[in-house]
Amino acid sequence: MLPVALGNATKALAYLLTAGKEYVALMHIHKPVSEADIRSLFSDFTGTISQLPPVRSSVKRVLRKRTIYYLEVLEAYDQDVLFRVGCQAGTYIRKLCVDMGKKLGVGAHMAELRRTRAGPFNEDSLVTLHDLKDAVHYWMHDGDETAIKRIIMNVETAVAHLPRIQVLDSAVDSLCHGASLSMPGISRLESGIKKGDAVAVMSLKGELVFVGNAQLSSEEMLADHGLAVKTERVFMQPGTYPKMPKL
Amino acid sequence: MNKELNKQSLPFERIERKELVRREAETSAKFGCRPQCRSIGELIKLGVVNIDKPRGPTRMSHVGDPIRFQPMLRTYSG
Repeated sequence: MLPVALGNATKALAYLLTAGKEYVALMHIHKPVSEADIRSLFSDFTGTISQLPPVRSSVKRVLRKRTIYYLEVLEAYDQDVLFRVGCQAGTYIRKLCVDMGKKLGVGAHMAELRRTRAGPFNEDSLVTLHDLKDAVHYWMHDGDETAIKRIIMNVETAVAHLPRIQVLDSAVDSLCHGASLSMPGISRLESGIKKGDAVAVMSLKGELVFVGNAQLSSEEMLADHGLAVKTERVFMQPGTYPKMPKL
Repeated sequence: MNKELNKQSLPFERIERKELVRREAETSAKFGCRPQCRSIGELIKLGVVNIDKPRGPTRMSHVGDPIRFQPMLRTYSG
């Protein structure tokens, strides 16, 4: 799967880049090993691991720590192991297979790989390039919007993994112009926000206004005044909501 | 929730969030619209498509091209 963003929504992908991923992969082990060995190997590789990016990679080759959130065997047959892995962004699965092969002492490599989750996106919303082409055709040539509307998701979907804050109508326009969010503009917010978190700031209708950096925790944002969220990327066009005198 | 589900979750799903109300307020129907009500024109300027990437091309190469070259769609994939 590959989430592709249109127009102004491309800015939301920065927050997907750092979100957790899930893959289903096929590992080929170079000599037969018992299934019990594979299972204990998998539990050894769950949690924090050190990984050297592969020779052919798009990042600097220095040892780095990555977290494997879950790692489970789906099917093991002969020297092939089909597995599911949930991992931190920037984990190389190809390298994970090689490292697990080394640990087994017999070697292994990755034979196939498929991404099954990227942050809030999973396989439920997948569309093939053919589906997309057809949908565009129906819309442009036949004037039928049904298919294209089903295929294109809201930008809000792409930031669904971020904690959200909803702001008053009167606060929206200045935020669209790049102003930071102060406490008086907040109507509702989710608990558990920590200072430094990326947060999705939305209108009361649930439209994404901007994504920013929390300057305080959720509890602290309940106070009377002060700076709550610094603007990073604005999504809503100015003028969508009316200009209001400063709060 | 059951144990199996916890094992299969990514970190952002492990945080339980409640909605806190700082100030109850209404929103005016005169401005903006709920995301579900966007027109196709608005979706093209602010939407996401979850592509079932074919085998072969990597995201770094030209997998986005068939979409990028659709008239009116400006995209970036990541």
